Amino acid sequence: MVAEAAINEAQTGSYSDRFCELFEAYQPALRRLVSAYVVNPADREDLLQEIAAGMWKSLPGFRGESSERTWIYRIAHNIAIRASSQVRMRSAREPLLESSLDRAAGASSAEDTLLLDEKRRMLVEAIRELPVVERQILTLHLEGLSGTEVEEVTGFSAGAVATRLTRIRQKLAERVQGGRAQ
Amino acid sequence: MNQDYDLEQLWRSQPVSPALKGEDMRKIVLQKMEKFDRKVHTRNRSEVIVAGLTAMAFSYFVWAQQNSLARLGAAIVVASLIWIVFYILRRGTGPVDPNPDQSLAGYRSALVSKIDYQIRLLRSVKYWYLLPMYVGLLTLSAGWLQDRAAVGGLTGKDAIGPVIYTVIFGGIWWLNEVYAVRKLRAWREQLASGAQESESC
Repeated sequence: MVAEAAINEAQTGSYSDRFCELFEAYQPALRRLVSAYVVNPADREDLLQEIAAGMWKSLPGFRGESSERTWIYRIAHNIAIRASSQVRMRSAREPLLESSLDRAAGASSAEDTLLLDEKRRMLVEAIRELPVVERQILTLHLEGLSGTEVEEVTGFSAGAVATRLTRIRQKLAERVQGGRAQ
Repeated sequence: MNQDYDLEQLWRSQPVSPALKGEDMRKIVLQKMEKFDRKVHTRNRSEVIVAGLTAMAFSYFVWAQQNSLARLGAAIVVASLIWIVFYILRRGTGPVDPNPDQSLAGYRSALVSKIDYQIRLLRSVKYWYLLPMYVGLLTLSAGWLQDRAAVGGLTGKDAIGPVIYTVIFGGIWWLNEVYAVRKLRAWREQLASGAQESESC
């Protein structure tokens, strides 16, 4: 019993360390991912916590059959689908509350910064308006996952994903342009 | 936005909230899980306690009532309360959430199955929760009314009790079978439309 308890404790400790490493490594990507599902910053934080809880619970079962990256994205998108449907989604336009947190991303002047903020906002809004499957495929692609990795996460063939991506990009460009025209 | 604009770069340069340490998030997760478990435990315990106390009260009626119809009604209520506790403890929690560590298409399909189960459970509330107790209360009321009629006639006030519990039971039925099912159906449709999209991939 004592040995068993010691093993459990050691395992929990190693899971704990692994969880912390994984969460810190993927946190920026996970924060971007939640922005594709929920608008409100408080809802985003809740969703991030839900995803982290999903990672924590699933970690003991992770056997390394897939890469850590695809494993995390699977959990994150699955939980986001479940949780975001239950969250009362605000249809209001995305508030630029966070824009002051990261102004340095390549912008050289105030005008450039505003332009970049606007482009980002339009992109995120357009992504959020996409049907769920398209949103998932696109965000995975934008995070730099290969066709095979997207296949691993979604369960759709790499060929189907590639075809779909072309259509999504067109649709996205049309939506963003439509948004600008208004 | 120009077609050649680097969407990837734009996406990844999104401003995000300040980073949280892994250890801090681990603590938040554990606290949340503990809170959730405590909430479920407290809810289950309260339900069992309330049902137990109510069953005890109605058991007294079974023993104290002279009218056999009223005794039968009280006995039905006691039996239905025992049945409800058994049902809640055995089946009320429903299936666990599907494992999120599976493909998106597989998870969505598992989630739809879970919602279907919840809808079936809510739609059956009238049979396993409301009906047995309602029949018991009606029988009990009939026994009391029989006694009242025997001693001096019935008045409009005698209908107040049955009307009150009928309204309460109607409200519980509406909340479960109409309101909650409507919400679950909307969620299911949303997920099912995602599943249809998956099939077209």
